[in-house]
Amino acid sequence: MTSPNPPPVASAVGPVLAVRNLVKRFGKVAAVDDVSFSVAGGTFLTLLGPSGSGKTTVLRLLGGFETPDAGSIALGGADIGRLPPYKRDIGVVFQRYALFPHMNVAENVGFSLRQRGVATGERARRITEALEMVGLEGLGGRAPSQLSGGQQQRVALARALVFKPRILVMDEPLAALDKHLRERLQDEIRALQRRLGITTVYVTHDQAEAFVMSDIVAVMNAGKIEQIAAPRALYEAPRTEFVARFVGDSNIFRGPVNESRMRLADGVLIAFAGNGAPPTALMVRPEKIRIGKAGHQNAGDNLLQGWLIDMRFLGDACLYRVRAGAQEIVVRDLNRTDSAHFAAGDEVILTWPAADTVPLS
Amino acid sequence: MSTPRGLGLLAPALLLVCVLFIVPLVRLAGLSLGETTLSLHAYAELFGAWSYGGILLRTLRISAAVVVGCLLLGYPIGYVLAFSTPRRRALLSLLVLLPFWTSVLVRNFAWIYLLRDGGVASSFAGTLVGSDQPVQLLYNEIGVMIGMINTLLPFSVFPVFVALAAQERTLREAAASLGASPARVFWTVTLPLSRAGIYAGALLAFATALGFFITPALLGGGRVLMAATFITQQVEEFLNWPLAAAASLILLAAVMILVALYRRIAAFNLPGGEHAAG
Repeated sequence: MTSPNPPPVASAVGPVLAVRNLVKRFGKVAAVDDVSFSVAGGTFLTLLGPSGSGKTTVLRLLGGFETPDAGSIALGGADIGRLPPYKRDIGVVFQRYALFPHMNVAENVGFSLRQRGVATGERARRITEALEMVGLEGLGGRAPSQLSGGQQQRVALARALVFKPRILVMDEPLAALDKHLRERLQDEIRALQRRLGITTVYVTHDQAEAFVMSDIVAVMNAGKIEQIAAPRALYEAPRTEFVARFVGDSNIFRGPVNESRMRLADGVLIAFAGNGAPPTALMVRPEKIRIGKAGHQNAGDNLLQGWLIDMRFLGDACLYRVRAGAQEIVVRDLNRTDSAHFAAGDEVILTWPAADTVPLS
Repeated sequence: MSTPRGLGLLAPALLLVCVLFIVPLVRLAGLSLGETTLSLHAYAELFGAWSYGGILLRTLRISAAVVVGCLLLGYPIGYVLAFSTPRRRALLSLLVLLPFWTSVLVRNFAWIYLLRDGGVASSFAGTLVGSDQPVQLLYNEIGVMIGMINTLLPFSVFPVFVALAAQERTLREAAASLGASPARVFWTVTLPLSRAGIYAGALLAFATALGFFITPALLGGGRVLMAATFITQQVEEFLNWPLAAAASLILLAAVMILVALYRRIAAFNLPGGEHAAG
């Protein structure tokens, strides 16, 4: 899952879902503050953000459970922003499944078909098909309470897909599951989404989950989208300090900028590759930095000298904390056979290319 | 729970129930079997005489009608309470409880004034049924039922409110997202999932209604004889203790049967019906 997902093909008629200048206030607080994005057909888009960033509110606006104060939501070109939920044709998977406890699995899955007046035989066929799709064949007669958390989530997925909605939205559907099951379901949901080619909007606060599953990730903070990009672009070239900090680990530098150099408080110059407005901060990912013994000559545009505060052995890598002048820098060194070993107090030098220094605004 | 320690904590309550409830109840049961010699005479009399049986049936019938009235009026109130803001909920709860806190005499005399012949209510009821004549609402079963529903309404409102407030909002939202209109959401999700509240409210109202004494006497004007009134009459006027005791025990048995029934229903919540093939 390390290769970037293929870029989604934009359909000729434009995006399936287009959100424009969406605003939702609760009292004086703008939970969603002028949010715009669009999703091409078949794309898996994730809204990623900390709790309170407005991602769930965007989802609830899509589902029609909240009414926007301003802005529009266009689904297939028609504005649905003020339609009630039952006229939207959107499949919703809720955080805690929201299965109907007084109905068995088959009745849960068949609920939408019943609302649409699908005949009994056809309904039974499609229920069976949907349960097979999520790997729950034969469990139609069970009560939701007789199923495990993972199975309940599959039922919720089958229920949201059985009526062939135009888009699927999911609100932290895996948050309640343990790590292993969560990872398995991430792969399963992703595979199913690709197979069906259904446009999906997914909400999570888990960066790894967002990266593994999504074509496009929108990072949200304080009701706004900070950046919307493919996972790799988001990681390699975060535009703001918030994104840099929220997505992966980062070393942040601050200081006055002159041309393509930043002068740190202790006088050290950091080179970066940038040709826009002067950045407010610079960022380097811990694994982009090479650590070496003092005196050894390492290639790199940036070179800092320092001493090791401590190290943490992670198995596949070592995490070093290095004091370099006024800076404290985190370095992640992969555990290779030829990796040098360091102990606290060692003098080290850190090097990295200017191209890996990301200017932030 | 059934540890000796737990039992020790329960002891004061158990003692109280024993002395003040179980002992008198056993004494009552003994009394119903005759004051001097052991006989089933009182029960035979109770079931043998049409008039006595009629009193029991009337009590059950009025109580059942009162329960239906309470639920029809109480469910919407419980619904509004459950989906109100906390502030409005506090105010509305106060309004629901107000009659409950009013003296039973004041309440009944207020109804007598409101329901009297030629009063606003009876003329309005006349217009409703399309007659020029006012409808008699007082000193009959209708008057008794109106008064009892007024008193017992909170018993049905609050269990319904609790059941609805405990319902997860996402269940209704899920139903809506799957294509159910607000009315369909109510009939397929909200109402079935509030059944426990309906049963509890019905049981509370019914059990309490069976023992109503003052309201039937005042609003029935002596013409609507219900079980509690009958029992008092037997004790105070005819000094027929065995008959009063037997009638009391039958009422108690009726309530206990209902409680047992309720427990069966409350425990029974397995989904049924549609099964997927395979």
